[in-house]
Amino acid sequence: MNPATDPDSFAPDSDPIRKARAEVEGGEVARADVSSSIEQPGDAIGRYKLLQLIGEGGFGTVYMAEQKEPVRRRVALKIVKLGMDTRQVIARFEAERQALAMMDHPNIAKVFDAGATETGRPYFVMELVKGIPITEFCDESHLSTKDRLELFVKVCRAVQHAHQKGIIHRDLKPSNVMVTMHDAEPVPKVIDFGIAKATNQDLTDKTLFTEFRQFIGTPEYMSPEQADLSGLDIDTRSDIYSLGVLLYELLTGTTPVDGVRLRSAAFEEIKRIIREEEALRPSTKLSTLGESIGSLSRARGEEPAALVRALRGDLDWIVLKALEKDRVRRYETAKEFAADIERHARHEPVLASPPSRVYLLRKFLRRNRGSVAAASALVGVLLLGIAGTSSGYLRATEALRVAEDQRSAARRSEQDALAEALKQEALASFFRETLFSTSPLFGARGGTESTVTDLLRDASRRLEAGALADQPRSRATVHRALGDAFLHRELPDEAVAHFSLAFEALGEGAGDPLTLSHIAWELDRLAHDKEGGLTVELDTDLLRTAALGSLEPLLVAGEREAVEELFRWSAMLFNSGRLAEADRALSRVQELIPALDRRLVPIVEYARAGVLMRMDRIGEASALYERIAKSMQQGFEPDDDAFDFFEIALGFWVHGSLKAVGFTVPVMEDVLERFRRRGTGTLMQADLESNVVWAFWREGRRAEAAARQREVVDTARGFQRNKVFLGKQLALLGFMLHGTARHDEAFEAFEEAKRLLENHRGEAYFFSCEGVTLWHGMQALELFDHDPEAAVEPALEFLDNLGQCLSWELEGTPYPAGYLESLAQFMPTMERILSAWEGLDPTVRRHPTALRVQGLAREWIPRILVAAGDPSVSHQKVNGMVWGVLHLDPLADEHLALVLELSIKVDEATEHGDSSCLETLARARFLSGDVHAALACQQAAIDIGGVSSGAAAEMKTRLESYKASAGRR
Amino acid sequence: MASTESEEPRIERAIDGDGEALEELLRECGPRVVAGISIDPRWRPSLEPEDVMQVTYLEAYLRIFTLQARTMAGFRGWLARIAENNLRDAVRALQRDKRPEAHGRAVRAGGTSAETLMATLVDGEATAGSIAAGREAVSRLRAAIARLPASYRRVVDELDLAERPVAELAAELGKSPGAVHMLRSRAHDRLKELLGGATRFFYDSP
Repeated sequence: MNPATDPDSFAPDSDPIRKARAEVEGGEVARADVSSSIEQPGDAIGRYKLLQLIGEGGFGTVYMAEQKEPVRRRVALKIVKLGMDTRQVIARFEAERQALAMMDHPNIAKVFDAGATETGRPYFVMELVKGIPITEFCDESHLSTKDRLELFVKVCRAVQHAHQKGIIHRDLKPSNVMVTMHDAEPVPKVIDFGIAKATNQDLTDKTLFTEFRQFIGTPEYMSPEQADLSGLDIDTRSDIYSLGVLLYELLTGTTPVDGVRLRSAAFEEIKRIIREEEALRPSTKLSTLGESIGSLSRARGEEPAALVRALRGDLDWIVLKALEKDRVRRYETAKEFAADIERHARHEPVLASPPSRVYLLRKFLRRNRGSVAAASALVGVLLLGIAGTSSGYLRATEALRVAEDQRSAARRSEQDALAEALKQEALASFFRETLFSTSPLFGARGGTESTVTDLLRDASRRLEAGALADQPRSRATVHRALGDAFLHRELPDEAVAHFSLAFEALGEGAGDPLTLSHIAWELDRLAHDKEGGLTVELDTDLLRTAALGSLEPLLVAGEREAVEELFRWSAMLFNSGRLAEADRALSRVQELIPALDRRLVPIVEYARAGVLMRMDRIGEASALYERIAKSMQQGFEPDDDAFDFFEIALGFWVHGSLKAVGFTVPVMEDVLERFRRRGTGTLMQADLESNVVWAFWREGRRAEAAARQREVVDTARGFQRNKVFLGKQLALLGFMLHGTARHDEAFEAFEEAKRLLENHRGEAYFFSCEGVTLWHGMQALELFDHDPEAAVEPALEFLDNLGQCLSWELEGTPYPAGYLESLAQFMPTMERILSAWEGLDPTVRRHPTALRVQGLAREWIPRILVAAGDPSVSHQKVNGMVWGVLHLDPLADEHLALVLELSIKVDEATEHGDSSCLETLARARFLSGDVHAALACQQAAIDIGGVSSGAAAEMKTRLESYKASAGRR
Repeated sequence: MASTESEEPRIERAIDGDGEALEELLRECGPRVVAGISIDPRWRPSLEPEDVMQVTYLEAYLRIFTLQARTMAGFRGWLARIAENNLRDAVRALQRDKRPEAHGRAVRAGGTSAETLMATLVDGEATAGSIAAGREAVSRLRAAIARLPASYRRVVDELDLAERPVAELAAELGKSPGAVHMLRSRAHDRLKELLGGATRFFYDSP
């Protein structure tokens, strides 16, 4: 017998196969008893006889039961499932009972009784609602739009009643609004307060409801704030949102976001969709339904066109007001919501209205975040260097990603319903065959990376073999989908192949110019993405020319989508450094936009000014900035909508050109004060405050800035959900404390910032660049003196991050002051650590990152000095740059001469009254060999005073070192 | 002799849960799969082919019902793919050990170790903070851990819940660090399956 196949020849202890088998078969895999209810119809619980199981959730079971006394009636009895009676579940159960008991409204199910079984499992007894979900009821009864609205108003009143009792439902959806008939009248009943929450009182003292937040709600009906899952800040306006979704569904037969799409999305994507994607107007949604609008209108007894007309206008705005992502903009109460519907019914003016000018602009900004951000980030917000508005930073880092999202979310322009249906069928069949005919490996690991890729490749092969050959549109759609999928799996070569084939298929005449342009855009982006990992050569010039050429007729016709598409092209061209082309595209947009929408003119001009700045056409850019600034000032109001304007204004302020038109620190403070008086948007306030603080810092009011930044941090601690914001504020505090020589406190702040920010490296790269980079620098410094070896890792992290900071976004921009300041603070010690590595590990010493950073820093000196010589750059910024350069050793003689010249100019411009400028001049003179003049300047800087004690001590230390050097000479 | 039996019925029996049949198949195919395992010299001190096969055999027993092929070549390919995946995950973990990535080091943001594990399992993107308050989820997690094979349960208990270092546990178990990483990775996969994925949590309203 072959020992390899003789089971008896293997000792169980040493044989791996036997061990594996024993572990699986030998009862090692515990079979947990999945708990379920043990009650059966016919059993009695208290004085109730269970008749029929009518519902079952994760934790509770609902029976129809019969009550014998004191009255004989049918009731619903809800009981916690056996095995699910944990402390939390019981508490939640108790909450529902209490919530229901507090309410007495004809449209809310009543609670009659409550108790516990002999084994202690709680139950409660409530009114038996024999109805069907409101949406089904409306469709089955062929209710007209008017009747649906009447019914919905009753639901609003029930919800209003709950809100008045301090209860938020948190899970309003059709199946929780049942409709029953009472005397031939439909009566809606709101049920299932199982996840309700008290607004102003404790429903139970047994637990916190936020503990359940992961389990609550139904995504289609969930408000953006619920989707955040923080559970800390949900109020009655969350129910208003859900009511809005319900009304949307009653009117259009569908929810704003498709449930199937939501359920197939990953967890984070679900949250993103809920938070970010705007609902189509109900009337627009109806128009996109194709043939199914026929059955929908039949169910209402109305003509399709009449149905669309009925929704267009007031009802569109009413629904969209309830569905606002920002709850401040929703109806305040369910009563107000209902009242607006009633006003509409009476043909009176409604509260909801088409968006205002400012609102439209804000929407535009949001929709075109990628484009606007790409321009504004680099020329405006980025100029802040180490600080800046958090949203600005996020925009900068996410610009491309957002643009990609826009691309994938771009609307299909095909309107032909029949062709669409055929295409869908062809696609469905293609994917069905691909999914089920191939890849036995697919089941092996439940769809791992490699097997999904195999599957995609199978699909590719099927296309190559001729699938969908006679259907160019479908083939293009599949190629595009596969391109997206390969791109998602970081296989850009294969993605490019599919995108190219999609372009080719559409080029056969089957595609509309916008789709063609989207694909060309994607290919062009990939071809120019240096870090995208593309290994094939891809020349996209022809594609781009063809795509933009095909857009031209639409542009001439003034098609808005085409103009926006060109705007997106300009952002991508700008991002990939093709400035002349970006400028050409933008100048065309600038030409077209006034006829389309005058309100968008400043936005486009702003983007163009950014491109001009990058092209070093400073004069033209500045003129444009001032023109925009003036036009903005005329309509500037410090309300929520104006925040985006303010952010842009801040960019101008940093650039310095706004000083000329009055956007100074006092103006910012004034705006801040007005925000405060409004008492809204506390996070926004804190963000603004932080910007004002940063302005102080840049103005040289450093001690004051550090003190106020600490207050910002305290405020930020209140925003539990926004760890990134807190982390960023802490990093900024650390930077300021370090800059005022309060090293211990700075270290603590950095440490905390790092803890918060490291989790967000991907999504907010800047934060890691600044907060985490500086933290690593600090850590390296701290460790170096007593444990040089341990300092190596943080030093490497520091250099690595800083190298990326320098090379990533700043290349080509003339304003690297913030990073240079960081570099200046840490470089000397890093150099020491680097040299100390010689004794530690030769490979580490030659770490390419370290060399790259040093090389970069030196390579940058000439550019920095040129930038610093620009008259439009503020004295503080020049001072910061020069101070940074003065720490990059060795410094070439010609650079030193330039630095000295700049330091003298700045000192003169500040009339010898700025201690930090004097210190810079002192160092420049010292390095130039004029030690006595250096001593005089340093002493003058000290004499001015007004700095923290730590900073004063540092200044004195420097003075002493100059003196010692003078003595040696 | 078993090896003379035609392939398809034997594979069918293995898929239907006949441990004997699967054992025979593994004995026949195992050596060729082992021979195909190539470990980079850098990782050889921390990982041996036998480590990879130990977990591969266990996975084979746990997942045989997913096998679609009915030929020996198909079975061998399936087994080789499991081994490859195991090896890849072990090497990734060893690389992380050598120079941990910042986000990997900072998974924990307060809360208990079970909450941190939950964060890892539910969604790589989710912040630990967003998961931390899900005590209910944690109690489910504990129930799921109880359903793991003993060797998987042990590494989860020791590494994720007791937060012991891999090297220490490896020494105690007499295994290589790579093997321990591999067990942990597979244990996490299995836990994810037992928990049903993040989306299910989202929909589990009572």
